Amino acid sequence: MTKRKIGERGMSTLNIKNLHVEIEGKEILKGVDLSVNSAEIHALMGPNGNGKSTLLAAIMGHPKYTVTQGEITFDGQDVLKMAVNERSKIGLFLGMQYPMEVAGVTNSDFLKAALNSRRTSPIPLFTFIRTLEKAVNLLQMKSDLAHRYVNEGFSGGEKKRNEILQMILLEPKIAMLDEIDSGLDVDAMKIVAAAILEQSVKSQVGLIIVSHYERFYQLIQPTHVHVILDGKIVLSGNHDLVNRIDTEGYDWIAQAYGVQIVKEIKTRPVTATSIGTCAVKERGME
Amino acid sequence: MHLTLKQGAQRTSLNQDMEIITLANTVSSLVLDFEDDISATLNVTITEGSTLDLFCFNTSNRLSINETYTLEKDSILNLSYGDLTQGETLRNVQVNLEGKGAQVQLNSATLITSDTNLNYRFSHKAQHTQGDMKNYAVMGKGGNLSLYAIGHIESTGAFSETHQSTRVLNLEGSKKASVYPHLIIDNNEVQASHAESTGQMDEDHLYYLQSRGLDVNQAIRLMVKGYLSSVTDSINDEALKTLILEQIDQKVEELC
Repeated sequence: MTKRKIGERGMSTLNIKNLHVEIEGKEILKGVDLSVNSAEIHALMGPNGNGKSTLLAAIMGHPKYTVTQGEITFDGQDVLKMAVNERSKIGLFLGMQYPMEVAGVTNSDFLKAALNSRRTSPIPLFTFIRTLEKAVNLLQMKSDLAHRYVNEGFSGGEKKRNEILQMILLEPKIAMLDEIDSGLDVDAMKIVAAAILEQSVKSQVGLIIVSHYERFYQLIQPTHVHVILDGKIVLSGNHDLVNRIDTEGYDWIAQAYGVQIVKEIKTRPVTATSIGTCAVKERGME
Repeated sequence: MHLTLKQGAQRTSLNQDMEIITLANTVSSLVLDFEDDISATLNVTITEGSTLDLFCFNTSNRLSINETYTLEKDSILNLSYGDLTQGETLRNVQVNLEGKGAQVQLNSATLITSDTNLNYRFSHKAQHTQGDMKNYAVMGKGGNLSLYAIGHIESTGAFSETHQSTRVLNLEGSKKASVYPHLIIDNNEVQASHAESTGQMDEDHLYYLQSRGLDVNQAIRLMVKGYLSSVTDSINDEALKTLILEQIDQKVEELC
């Protein structure tokens, strides 16, 4: 297990105890315990539909998820009492599986507002541009990023890089990355992994990473690996666990621990509707 | 008041009836400021082969205006409206695409804080004309919105295109928004489309912005500014664009 040096930002700890979470009355998490310190990299694995994304969303405070039992603390502070933006400002970050497209809002305005929300005085323009350019170059993104609307018209890979870009700029103490590697080709995955590792070393950010791919974990080299089945972390270990799951799947864990794997139910996505008058051919409508 | 536009950019206020004409085969841009209390007519002719970028910036106390645009052959009109008024607004806009190959792009952004009636109409009278209308409205506290968006391809307008989309964002405490999209098609060799949406601030959008540190009000203001700022895309003069964006920022801070 890799030991990382804790720098001047000091040690931070995210503690989760006996966390129960439900959505629309259905219990998804059924008692999760997890502790993450600065500079640690925790891999969170498990089949779809067993609670990985729910755990990350609940930590960040997504309004659709209800915590019914348990506690989440960050450096001793009660996270569950905090609004979503307060969780961000104390140093939590969630890189989302499906980043939102925000039409009309440029990346530049969005990032400046996000940075200024945690400062007492606005970030100087030159400092902002220099910081942004550095991150854009690190992630090998297009130089027009600042002027584009947040995630609008971005490819899947660009959206994921944009999440990492935000993480780099906001310098969280604990970052959660939800399937940040999906949508990335092999080369892009290497670039993103290198950027995450650089941030991990530079700022000692503690990481919780959800991925289905052994290849990504090979690049990231997690210090801890957890398997979540049916809303509980049933097994924790080191990188060897990633390799075994890659070859044998999850059934052996379910059998060994007497847990039923939840099968994901795919729901049809809700698409935007348009309400209006259809083309007509008539006279006298004026 | 009569104004002949030559090549280049200008900015002026409209406080009485006005006629504007472009010179043939020129590219010009104009910012019209609407301030105080205005009741007027505006007639604009875009002559053959010329392009006009017109930005109408409405910060008036009350506005009642009838606007008519005549587009000659191969002329282009980029028409943008930024409405940040706290007073009542009535605007009737008639765009006549009379010359073959004429094109109009209309973008409007309106922050509704008092009763607002907007009527936008494209009449495609000649062949191969193109019209595209994009309306964005944010329903602030107070005031109803009535918006008619009409694209009419007349029998003489073969091979023309008319498209329109309208998006209305309701903030908490807003009143009634009524949007009436119409496509009137009198020729079969055409293309036409429309899209309308109206709804609350998207919960997932808000959550996304909040998860980066913005509180609810900061997130709403950022999204409203985004909605309204898109109309300045058509302004080519960067200094002017920056100035108007600053004014939009200031107004949104005041009104949202």
